[in-house]
Order: sequence, then C-alpha cells, then structure tokens
Amino acid sequence: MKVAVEILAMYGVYVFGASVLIWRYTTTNDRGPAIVVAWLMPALIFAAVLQGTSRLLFGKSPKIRQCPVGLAEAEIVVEKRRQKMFGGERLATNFASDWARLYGVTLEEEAKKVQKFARWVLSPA
Amino acid sequence: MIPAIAELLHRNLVVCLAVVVIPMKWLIVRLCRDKEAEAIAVMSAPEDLCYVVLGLVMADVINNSGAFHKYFGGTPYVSMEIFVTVALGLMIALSMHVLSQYADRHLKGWRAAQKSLASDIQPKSGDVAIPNAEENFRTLMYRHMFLFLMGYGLQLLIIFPWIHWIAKVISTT
Repeated sequence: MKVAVEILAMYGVYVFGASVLIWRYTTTNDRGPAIVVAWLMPALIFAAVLQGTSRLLFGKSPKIRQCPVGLAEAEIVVEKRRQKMFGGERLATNFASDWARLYGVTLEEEAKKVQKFARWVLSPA
Repeated sequence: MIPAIAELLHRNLVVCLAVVVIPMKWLIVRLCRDKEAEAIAVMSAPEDLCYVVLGLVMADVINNSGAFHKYFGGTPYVSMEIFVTVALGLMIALSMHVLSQYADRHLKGWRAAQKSLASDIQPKSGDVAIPNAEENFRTLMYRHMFLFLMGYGLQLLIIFPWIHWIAKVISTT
C-alpha cells in the first residue's frame, strides 16, 4: 500500500511538473495533445523499451522514414534562436543529419536484401 | 478528511516532501509573477528533494544515537556503512545535476522551437523560406519537449527510491 502511494506521488509530481511547463510554454493549439502525451510518457517509454528488446531478440530492424526536407535548416534556426534567448555557446545540431544517415543505412540494408533476392531468383538452378 | 490526509503525510515522508516542496515552490514563484523562474522552480524540484534528503541524512548521522547508527548497529562496520550512505547520496546528487543539465538544454530548445513556430520574423513561404518550416519547427519542438520530459522523469525515478529508503530507515529505527 505504502509503495503504491509513493509511486502515485512520484507520478503526481511528474504530471504536475510536465503539465505546468507545457501549459506555460506552449501555444493553445499544441497544449492539449502535448499534455495528454506527456501524461502517457511513462507507458510509452515502457512500450518502447519492450519493443526495442523484442527487435533485438528477433533481429528486426526498425523502419525509418525519410528525414523531412528542411529539417536541418530549421534546426539551425532554432539553435540560433536558443542562443539569442538564453545565451551560451552555439551547440552542434545533429538531429537531422543523424536521421538522414540512419535512413541511408536502412536504404543500404534494404538494397542488399533486394540484391540478395535478385541473385537467388536469377541464379541458374 | 483533514486528519486522514495529515496521517498520510505523517506516515509517508516521500509523499509529504513531494506534496510540500514542489507545489509550494511553484506557488510562491507564481505569486511573484516571475515567469522565467517558474520553469527553473519546477525543473529543479527533483534536485531540491535530493538535497533535502541529504540534509536529513547528515543531520541524523552526526548524532551517535541517530537512526542510521541504530540501523547499521548490527554490523561491525558502522562508520564505513554510514560513509557509503553519504557517498551514495552525493553520487545521486551528482547524477541529478547531470540529468538536470540535460533536461535544461532540451527545455531551452523546446522554448526556442516554440518561439520560432510562433514568430512571424522567419519567412514561412517564398524563396528564402525554410521548406516545411511549420512542420519542421513543430517536429523539433516536440522532440525537445519529450527529451526534456524523459530527463525530468528519470530524475524522479532515481530520487524517489532513494527518499523511500532514507524515509524507511529514519521512520523504522
């Protein structure tokens, strides 16, 4: 019972902190969905860990969709604005480049699979 | 109702600290209408709890008849065990600070992305505009927001079991 109360208290603190910050620093349109997803975050992280473990166990690689056009430029704009708003040194932006690189790796792997399949189909019996 | 809540708070040090420290701190900053400090107040709450608990340990340890001396009394290495407890407290404080830095970086990134999304200075259409600007700013905003929440949640996940154990030692011995 005591442990359950404490877990609830921890979740309550998390929900309070997340909701206050989202409510304070997000526009009206994004506020509702962001708060709901933030409340569900612990469950989502748990599900992601489970999925990651099952992928590792069964050797399945995740499907990565193509990096959106203009994300790298947007990242630089955001970083510049962060520096303007809060000061400090300019940090290296690597989210878009990492995404593009991972997408490239996925494409390479798929191409290898297709090549292997084509060799198997075209090989003389 | 009130006696039941009071009893719950009295029995559960963890709940009491969380209920008292965090909303009270936020409320005071809110009353002062300091918007910038609000984020810092909420975000630094797990680190604050860490130092509150470290203070409880230190205050108890200096007393020879304190709870920790009694708790470790059955073993011949009492001083060493108390030293390990304090060292663990300091290590947890260190990890709290590292996670807090990580969360702070993403909170700032989130707010900058939010500002870029709401701003009219950045051209959103035309030749000089960033392609899919709105969608990209929103993607970056949510990315920073959820990485911040992950850092914040992880801090709470570390600090709560620590407070739980300290509270158990102090309340049962």
